[in-house]
Amino acid sequence: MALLAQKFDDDNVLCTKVDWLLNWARLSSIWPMTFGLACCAIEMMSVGACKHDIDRFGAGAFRATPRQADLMIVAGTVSFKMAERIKRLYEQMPEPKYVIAMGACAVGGGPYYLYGYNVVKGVDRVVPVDVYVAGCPPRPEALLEGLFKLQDKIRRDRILRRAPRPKPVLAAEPVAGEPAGAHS
Amino acid sequence: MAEAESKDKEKPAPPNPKFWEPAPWDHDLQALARRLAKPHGPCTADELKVVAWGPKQVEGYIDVPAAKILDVCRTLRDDAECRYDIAMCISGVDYSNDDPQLAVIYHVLSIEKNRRAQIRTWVPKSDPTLDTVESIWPAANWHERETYDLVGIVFRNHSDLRRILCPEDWVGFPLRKNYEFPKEYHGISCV
Repeated sequence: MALLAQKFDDDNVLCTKVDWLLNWARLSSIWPMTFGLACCAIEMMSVGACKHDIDRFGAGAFRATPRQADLMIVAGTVSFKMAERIKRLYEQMPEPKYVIAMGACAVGGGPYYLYGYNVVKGVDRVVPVDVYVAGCPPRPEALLEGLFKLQDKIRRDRILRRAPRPKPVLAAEPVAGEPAGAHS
Repeated sequence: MAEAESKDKEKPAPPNPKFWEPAPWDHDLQALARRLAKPHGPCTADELKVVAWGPKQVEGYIDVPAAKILDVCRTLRDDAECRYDIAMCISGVDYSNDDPQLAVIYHVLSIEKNRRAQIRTWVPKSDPTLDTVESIWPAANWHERETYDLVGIVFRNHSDLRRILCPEDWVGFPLRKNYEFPKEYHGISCV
């Protein structure tokens, strides 16, 4: 609201689109989750520190719980042991929620693609990813660029016209009135 | 002034002035092998085999029989000439698919003598069991769990022999040469 400060002398009426207003509010205060898995986390800390200062773009409030976070920055190598935890943390985040896959490992397995028996070949096999940031590790500027891409994506969102999100269905649970496995 | 100088002279020299450098390998493997043999240690002389390399033969293993690993390690820690009081690393090695045996290598460090040494023992792949040395170096607990996790060596009498790195329901031992990569894990594709 700083944009409108000191612009009017009296009470006034503003005309805007609801989509624009909600998107603007969302993209201006993306709260990431504190979530570092490997060396990419060092770059993520650098993004949060004074030199690169992600707080300039409203995304500096790193939350220590998924229930207060909007953005999950998967910074580092995702092992199979960690994958289930990542999925659980993602499901605990409130909507709307976004995921940035940071670095070669989170994008596609990285150097562990061929012989890493324990490494998930990309975090998009576990949770849906909005923005991929390449690099090993990416520079802090690259992560900021990824944040801008995510803000662009949120800015294009049409909340009121969007199709409702399908409800999650357990794969093994038969739907009432339909034979088991009809949806598989 | 003179008093200050005399006080400086009274200071004992630190036991290892170059403490920042890594401890050298045991320079006389043959002497260490003699120490592990009777009457000081548990082994007979022909059970021990020194495998050394390098220009001065200073680096290498001493192969010891698997049945006596507990007594050998106790000698390494307690013997006045050895005093290896830290187990830096315990690791399992699968050298080849053709090899019917697995190796277990103990890297030990002596703070007092400023020395390191390596002891190696062999267990058959058909029955890879070995006595735990947890009672001698408590740090061996996690080292042996890791060796069990990745190479599949079962340590007898270990207090808590679970996987330490892989998930608990992981199948197989990843650092075995004949390990087959999983196709999927809990619905996540591995290929």
